[in-house]
Amino acid sequence: MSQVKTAIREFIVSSWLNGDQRGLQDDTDLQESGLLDSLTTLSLISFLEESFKIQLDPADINAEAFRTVDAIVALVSEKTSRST
Amino acid sequence: MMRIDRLVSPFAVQTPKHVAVDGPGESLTYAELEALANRFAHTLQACGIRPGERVGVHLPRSGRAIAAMLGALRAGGTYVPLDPSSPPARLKLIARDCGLRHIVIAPPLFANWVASELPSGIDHYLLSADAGPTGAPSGIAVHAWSEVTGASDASLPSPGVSPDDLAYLLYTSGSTGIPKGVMLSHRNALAFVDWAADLIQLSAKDRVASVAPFHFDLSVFDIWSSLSRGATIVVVDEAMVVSGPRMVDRIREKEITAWYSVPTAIVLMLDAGKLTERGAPSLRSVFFAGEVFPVKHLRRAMEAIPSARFFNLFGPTETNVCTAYEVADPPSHDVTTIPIGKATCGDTAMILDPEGNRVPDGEVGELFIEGPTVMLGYWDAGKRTPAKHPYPTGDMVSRRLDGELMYHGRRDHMVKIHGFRVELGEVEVAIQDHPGVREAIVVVHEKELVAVAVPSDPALSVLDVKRHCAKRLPKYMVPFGVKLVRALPRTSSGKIDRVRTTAAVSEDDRVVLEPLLASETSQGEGKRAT
Repeated sequence: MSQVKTAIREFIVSSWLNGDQRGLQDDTDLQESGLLDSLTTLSLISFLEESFKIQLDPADINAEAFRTVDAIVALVSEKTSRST
Repeated sequence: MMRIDRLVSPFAVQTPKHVAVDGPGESLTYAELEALANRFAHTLQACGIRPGERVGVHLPRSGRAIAAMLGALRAGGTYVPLDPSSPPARLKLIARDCGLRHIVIAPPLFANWVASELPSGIDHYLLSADAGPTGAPSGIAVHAWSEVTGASDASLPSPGVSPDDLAYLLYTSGSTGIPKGVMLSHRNALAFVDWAADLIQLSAKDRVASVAPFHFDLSVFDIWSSLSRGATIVVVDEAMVVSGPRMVDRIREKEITAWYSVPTAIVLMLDAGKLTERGAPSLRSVFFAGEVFPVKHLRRAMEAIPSARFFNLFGPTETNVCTAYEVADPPSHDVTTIPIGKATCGDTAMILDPEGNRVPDGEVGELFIEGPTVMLGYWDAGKRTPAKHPYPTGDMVSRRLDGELMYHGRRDHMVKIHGFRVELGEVEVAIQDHPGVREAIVVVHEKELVAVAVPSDPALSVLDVKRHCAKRLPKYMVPFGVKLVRALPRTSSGKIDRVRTTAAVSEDDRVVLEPLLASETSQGEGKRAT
């Protein structure tokens, strides 16, 4: 689980924070912080699908599912446990 | 028929049961839209709206939002669409600028406003749906949805508004940090509305997508051209607009016939939505505007939708559409750019040099527009600064030998980010407002905003800058890239050197822009979209 979290944090820090991880908590609201919009959500979805070999349905894709690092980790773990 | 709020009335009589607005969640027939518009108008009159007064419309795109706009006009007012995705702080600046006393607002958005302190000046909040206790402080008049639905649906006497009076204000990005209110009259709107409807022979059989936000001038076609011909407006809601597959689903399910959006949305349908494989055979008209459509993607779109005519529409909010070009066939592979076309909607186009002389064909000059679509002026906190005539668009163009105009970019610091107009100055003002920022400049790199900031507080993080912007600016104005550097390059006169900063960002030049953090991501690693 911590590996999943580390990978997600690394993706966020390198793609959207220009390598600056300061202030990014696991419960930081990614929408209110101006990190998530429609296009960055799409790139996050493809990152998650490729890295963790999961398939996200339209029903999974809502603002709450991606609100924080913790929420994204929970979504990934739910998807990976279902597929095994 | 010289006022846009009267366009719908004939259809309420002739085709009362025909759907005027389809979804999301609720459909309104022409008779229902007409009745609800009158109920909003009566409610606003009971609140004491004065002639010409501005009415905020702050709800997601829907039949109720359109009814609220109609109601504001019928009560003698002017409507001001307020972007549901903008932070309350920016909307309150707009509310203050245009002196709003009345606003129609969706209950969840009202809850956000209450949570972040209500602006002074607004006396009446009309809720657009049923809601529990709102938590609003006492002394604020909150009108429940039942009050609107309980009002009379009888038509109102004409409010004595002339076609040259203000119909709506559209707020766009302003270089000084305060959004600018563009004043558009009924006549301005109708010059475009009728032209566009005639161009594609829009009729009651048409099903027109509503994709563009209502504060964005593309929506003038979706709403008013559709209503002027008794057509059906099909709302493609926000959640769908971010998803290529769901936009394609919506077009296919609802058999949408006309579509007007920024090219970015069409490219999203081609890539994520598999438009080429799935097709959209119902579409017969596709308009695009707001940014340059890369020719290779335009070609794919035209090949994917062979049933549709494609039109490149051009013009700033200040002139709505002032030139247009029909792309007759998919451009061949040697075509690199397509024209913005010829003057339209009754307008005249002139290409002038800085001294005001006409430039010869083929040479680049600034596009000036005269004609019925040119705005009345800027609201400007009630000063009503009139438009210059002819209107200088700030767009640099040339005229081809066949008379078609070609676009060559902007004269100033206004840019388009995914089709949205952004004044770099407005973003810079917002960032400089952060107490931990000494100075900052915003440039464009690979179609994204990049802020380059010199912190005064070493603890300032990239996240701080983005969060600060997200509280003040709509999402599309939050810089995607944020670089924290030791110093900014200067010109010989001591000003921040925008040209060298832009070049250093694009070349990832770490000598000119020395990063404060060793961990700074190298160029190309951070990408918004895949």
